[in-house]
Amino acid sequence: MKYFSALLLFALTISLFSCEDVIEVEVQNTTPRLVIDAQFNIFTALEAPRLEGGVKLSMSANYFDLNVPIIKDALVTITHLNSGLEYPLLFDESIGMFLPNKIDFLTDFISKYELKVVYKGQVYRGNTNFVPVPPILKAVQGTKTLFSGDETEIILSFQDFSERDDFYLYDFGQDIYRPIEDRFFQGEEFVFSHFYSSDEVKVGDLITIKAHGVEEQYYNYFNLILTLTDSNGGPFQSLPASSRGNILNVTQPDNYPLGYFLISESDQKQLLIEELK
Amino acid sequence: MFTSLLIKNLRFRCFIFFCFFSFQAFLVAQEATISGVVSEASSNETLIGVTIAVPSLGRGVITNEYGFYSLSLPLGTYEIQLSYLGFETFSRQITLSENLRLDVQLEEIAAALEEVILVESIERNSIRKPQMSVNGLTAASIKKIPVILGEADVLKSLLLLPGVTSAGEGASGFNVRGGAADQNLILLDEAIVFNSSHLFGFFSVFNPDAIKDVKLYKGGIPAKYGGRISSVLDIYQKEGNSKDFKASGGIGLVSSRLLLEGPLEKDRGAFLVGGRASYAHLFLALTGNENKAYFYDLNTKLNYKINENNSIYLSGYFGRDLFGISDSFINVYGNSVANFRWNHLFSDKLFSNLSVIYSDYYYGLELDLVGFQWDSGIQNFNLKYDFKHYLSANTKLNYGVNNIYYRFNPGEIKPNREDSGIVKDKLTDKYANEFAAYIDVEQNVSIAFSIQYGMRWSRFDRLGQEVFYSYENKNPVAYDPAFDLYSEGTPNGQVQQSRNSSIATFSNFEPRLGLSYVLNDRTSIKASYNHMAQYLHLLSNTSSPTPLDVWTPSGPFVKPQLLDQFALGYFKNLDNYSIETEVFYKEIANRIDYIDGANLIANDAIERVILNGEARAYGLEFLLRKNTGAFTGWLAYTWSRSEQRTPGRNSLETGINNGNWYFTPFDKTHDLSINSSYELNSKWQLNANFLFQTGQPTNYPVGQYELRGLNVPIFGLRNQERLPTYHRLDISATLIPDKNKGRKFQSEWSFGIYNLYNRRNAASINFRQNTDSGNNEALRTSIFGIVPSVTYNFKF
Repeated sequence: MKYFSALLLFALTISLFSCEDVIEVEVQNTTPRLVIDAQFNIFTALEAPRLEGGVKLSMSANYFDLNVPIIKDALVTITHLNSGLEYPLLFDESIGMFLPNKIDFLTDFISKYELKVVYKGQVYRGNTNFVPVPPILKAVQGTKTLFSGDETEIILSFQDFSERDDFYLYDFGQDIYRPIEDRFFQGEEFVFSHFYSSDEVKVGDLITIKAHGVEEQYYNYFNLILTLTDSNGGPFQSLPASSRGNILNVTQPDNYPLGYFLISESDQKQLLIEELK
Repeated sequence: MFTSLLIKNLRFRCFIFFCFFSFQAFLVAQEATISGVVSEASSNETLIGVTIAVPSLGRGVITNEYGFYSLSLPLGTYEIQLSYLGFETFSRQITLSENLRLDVQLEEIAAALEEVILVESIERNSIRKPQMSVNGLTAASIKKIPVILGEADVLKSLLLLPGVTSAGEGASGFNVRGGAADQNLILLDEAIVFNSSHLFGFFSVFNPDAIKDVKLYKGGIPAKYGGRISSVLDIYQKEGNSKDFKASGGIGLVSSRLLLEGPLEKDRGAFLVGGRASYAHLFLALTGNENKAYFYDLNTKLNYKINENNSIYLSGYFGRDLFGISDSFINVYGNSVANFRWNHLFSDKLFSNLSVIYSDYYYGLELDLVGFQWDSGIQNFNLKYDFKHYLSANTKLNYGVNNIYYRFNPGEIKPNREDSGIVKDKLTDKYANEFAAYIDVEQNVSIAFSIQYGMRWSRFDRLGQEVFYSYENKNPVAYDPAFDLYSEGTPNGQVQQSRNSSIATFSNFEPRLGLSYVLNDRTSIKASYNHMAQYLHLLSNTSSPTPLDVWTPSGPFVKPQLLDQFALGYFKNLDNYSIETEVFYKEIANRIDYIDGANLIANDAIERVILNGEARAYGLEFLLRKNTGAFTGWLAYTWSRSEQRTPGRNSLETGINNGNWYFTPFDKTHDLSINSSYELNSKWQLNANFLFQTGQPTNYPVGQYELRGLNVPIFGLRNQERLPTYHRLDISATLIPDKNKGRKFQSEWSFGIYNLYNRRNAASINFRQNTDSGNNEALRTSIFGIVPSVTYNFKF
């Protein structure tokens, strides 16, 4: 529901009257924390499941710093809790993430998984489940526009799982995300539109749209992350909020990490943007 | 701790006071009563606040909201004087041997400038009255104040008064003495108005042509009012001209208005119809832009005087705002009010008004991109019976009862087209009933000492609803100590309740007290205390309300807000000037706050994201007015502080913001407004406003991290930073053409420039990642730069 919040659209309307400019602001700094961005997107539609993502470790930084420090020297393991089997992850220089050497153990909908990170003598732990997603049924280009009149519409649909509360994350590329809950279309085929602005997509572009299954907790968490990052201006100030995920520091609880551990079933569709009348 | 003890003690003493004075009130001497209705000679429009004075006795009274007055005097012969700003003073010798009815019609002073306007008697009266912390504005003075786009505006005018601020341009509502916008009781002809703004706060919903009288109570709020804890904005609209048909209107850049009034039956009944509409969207359409943004509103009123003792009034208001972004997003919202009132005089000392009011607020949203239509709103039925009892020359009683029945529709969702997968759904409607009875005594104890004291008893019943969740340990908000995170609790059951049963009941005694002591003819000191309860909460987690915010009633998990306010004031009238200085302190219990990441929209169980906290505010207000002469105006300065905190519910929890006090978004340390008006000659009148305010509290990130390719800001404690200081200068000039003289058709031109030196005041500073460079940046949004305007007004 969050995404459907009209607040953003209000902000757009108000921007008819208002003007925006980038200014110099002095900000305070805080102690850096370990950031554990552990997301496993497993594409199951193929014969052999394919993994995107892994565990990316970094430190938080001052707000206007141009880069965040990447951590390579940590011990990372995932435990399949039903069997108790432990799988080590190794740092892959080419993508800057810790990866397991196989992934079949990650696709068990029944088991829970535990992530363990040991860094500078401190132990961090988090639990999650493998969450399913319905395949994207349709991804076609539409002709409607939104605000400025030159957006590109993509019409999407999927068949929601019936009899259960589901949460999905749609990834439109270029860091554009939309969390979706099935509260208002339980068990139905849901048809919706996404609009790319003319800056984001042009005729001839091949775009990839991905769908991931997520837990309710992650749905709430990621909505909050989007609220914090999605500052489109306007007179509505986003409220500050603490964005803690599902990982604890068991050695020194105060020195808690940021980030989240999730394993999603994923699906994707690609389409070529055409000139439509 | 100390203050709460003090408050309890004071509440008890108020009660003692109350008993004591009530007995005294019944000792009445051999007197007769003079009473009547004061109205405008040209239109029969009743006049509010006319002073009826008996100079030889040093006694007086002012007319009430319906123009009625009653004054008991010892038998004898007196000269009585009626005076009112902008009208010729009326005086007459009367011999009082028995009760006398005297209806008076006052003549307007013919638009002359040199005339001395008698304001002194009014001021002197107000200096004696125990009522403090109140500011009045007449329709005439509101129209003079330069405003954005030349649209005269009640709410924008209020912002120039001490103790009143807004969250900025383009922010709905207003904040009084550090209170939230939902803590203002806004009454339009006695009906509660839930949304006071058009176009997100650029205009208020009140048509300036239809307004007769505006009063804002910031403290010492009389027992007659209740249900909101920060202020009462009491607006009365014109009744209509029962002598002649009249029309007035204006044509502006953004909107136009027209008001028609005339007799239904000469001198007995009148009608009034007023409308406003904006048309900026027509220009958008001309440029090929499919987006829409417009508003309109309609005021209608009928009044009929059955006889000397009975009058009836029917009034209606209907307003809507509409926004559309092509066909993908359509948003409609607005108020409707229907109101029937009956004034009845039981005797020449006992005035009564019965009001039957229906009012609703509707909010609708159609989002075609996901295929749904969303409707929500609030409806209420209000029955009020108010009495004004002019017991003796020194004692006046106000008493009455009030019952409000509410229905809240938090939202209904349905598919807007056939191929939409949206399943029709309805959030559970909520119902509540609020009853109140009050008695309020205004008493002149001695020539120097006057007192106003009252008690309001309110009872709020949250009524049963179709689905009501229950929670383990009656705790709808979960707390995870390991993550130090609040989250929505999981219900352990749900029940269906009858709408006739009460699922939570709150009742409160709300004592009010006002004292005034006159040091000399021109100087007085006043003190007041008020305790009030507010049972409705506006759910909003932005710095100012938006039209889509939803009201929610108190209930098993959400407690009513309770206020205690103390104020002390010093008032002085000099020859041409008056000075008002006040200090105030207030505490609010059970101010709601939201857990991090709370989703307030379409939330069917709002109790899962709310925690009860507290708030406090204190400050000093100074108002210097120049009331007479060609140059008039005022300087208002306020120093204040407004904070809130929400500690943990037990020792394991940290609360919101670690349980620390933090500035509310409406904390403005310094707030200076200057309003001035200069009559250059019979053709030109010049006006200027200057505003200077501390920037509102805001948040800057204290760090960042990377997640899923996004740069996520880290925030520290709340509201530690401030936006840059806000200031601007507005000017306007009104031209009254010479040819107006001696003709029925009157016209004027009003030229204005808003934000003359084009200051880019920040409405907000947001932080984001630049999509091209990938680097973080701070983005300032400012709303209005320099805005010129021209408006043409007419009447005939």
